[in-house]
Amino acid sequence: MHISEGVLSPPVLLVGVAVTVIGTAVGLKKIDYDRIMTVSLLTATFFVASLIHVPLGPGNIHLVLGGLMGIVLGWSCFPAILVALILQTLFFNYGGLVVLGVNTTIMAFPALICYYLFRPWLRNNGLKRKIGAFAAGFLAILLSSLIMAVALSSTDKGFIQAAQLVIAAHVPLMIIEGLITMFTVSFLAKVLPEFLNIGK
Amino acid sequence: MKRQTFLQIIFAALLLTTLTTPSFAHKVRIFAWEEGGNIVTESKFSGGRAANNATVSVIDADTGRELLSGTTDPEGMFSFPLPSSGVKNLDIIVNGGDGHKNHWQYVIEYSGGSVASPPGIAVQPENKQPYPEKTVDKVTDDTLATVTMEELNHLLETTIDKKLVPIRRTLAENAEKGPTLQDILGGIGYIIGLAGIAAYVQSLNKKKE
Repeated sequence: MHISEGVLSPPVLLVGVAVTVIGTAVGLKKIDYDRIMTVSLLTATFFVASLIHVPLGPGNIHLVLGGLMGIVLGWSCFPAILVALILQTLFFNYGGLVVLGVNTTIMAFPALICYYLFRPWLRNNGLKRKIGAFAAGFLAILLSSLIMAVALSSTDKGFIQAAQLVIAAHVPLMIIEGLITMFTVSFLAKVLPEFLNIGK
Repeated sequence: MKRQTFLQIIFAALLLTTLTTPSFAHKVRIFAWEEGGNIVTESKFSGGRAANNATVSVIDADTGRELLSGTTDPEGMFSFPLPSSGVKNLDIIVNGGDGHKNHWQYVIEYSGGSVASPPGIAVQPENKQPYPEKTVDKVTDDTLATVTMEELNHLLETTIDKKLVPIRRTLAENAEKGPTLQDILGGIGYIIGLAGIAAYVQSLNKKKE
């Protein structure tokens, strides 16, 4: 999910920066005193999740947890993902500082869409909550792959080829993330409902 | 009680994470070494999977000119002959096609009597002085000695080169290390620190109101 430095053209980089700045500004406004710990806990989770590998598909894929970030944090997923990506760049050498905007957009924007689509599904306990959580985890990766393909196609290969390559590499991850998001949400809803800001 | 199980699970998750760290996440890397007059490159995705069908381009780092390019085989290997003399610094770039790109800097060492030097060019023997030039017979003797010296040199070079290949490869492979436990804990520390700063700013705002 991390695009390396030197792959993308300047216009694409600028669009990424613009989306990230807007998202982060709105996201920071939405963090109030009670949400700080939730946001930073999920930031830490996202930061560390990239180290868990899924040895499937043509490449090697790590967890992203975009869907979980989105449905729990809403707009605040932008600052959370931005901070985690800065730290991953500095400590793990993933991506790069120049492509930070694009990489944040790739992971945070789909998370935000999942928030608006599936957040209402989480309100009540039952099958609907599970399906909503799975769909959020699944869709976040699918949309991320699509945005990544669009970004790559504008510079490197044709869209179809880039999209095929990226999406094919991420299909196993979509299913795994869907399952992980489903189990995490139903577990948190039982144990720590206040963490999700939902009723039991 | 519930809180305790939650903490236990978080701890287990963290432990699992640290156990799975040796692999390097989602990133392509390339390394190169010399093997019998060729430069061999190997490209791998983080986690040790070979990057097959990735584009490798070789660039003269001093002039920025592209010397050659090609694609990797199913094992992620790509080899090319040593470029003509004059080129010293190579920049070998791998592009996975899916947004992953990395490069490896390679410095060619032209040693005397190297495999790359074309035959026919006489290499000056280093220990020429001790031999006095007197008779014709002696001179032919001397040239004979030079040739065997050269051949010996050549033989030694190729043998040593061959023996050094696995070592060179391991060295190249280890040049880049994955994230260590310190990196991970450091990152988490930064996140906690940022949370503290955010909480402090929020509490100042609360006081003002």
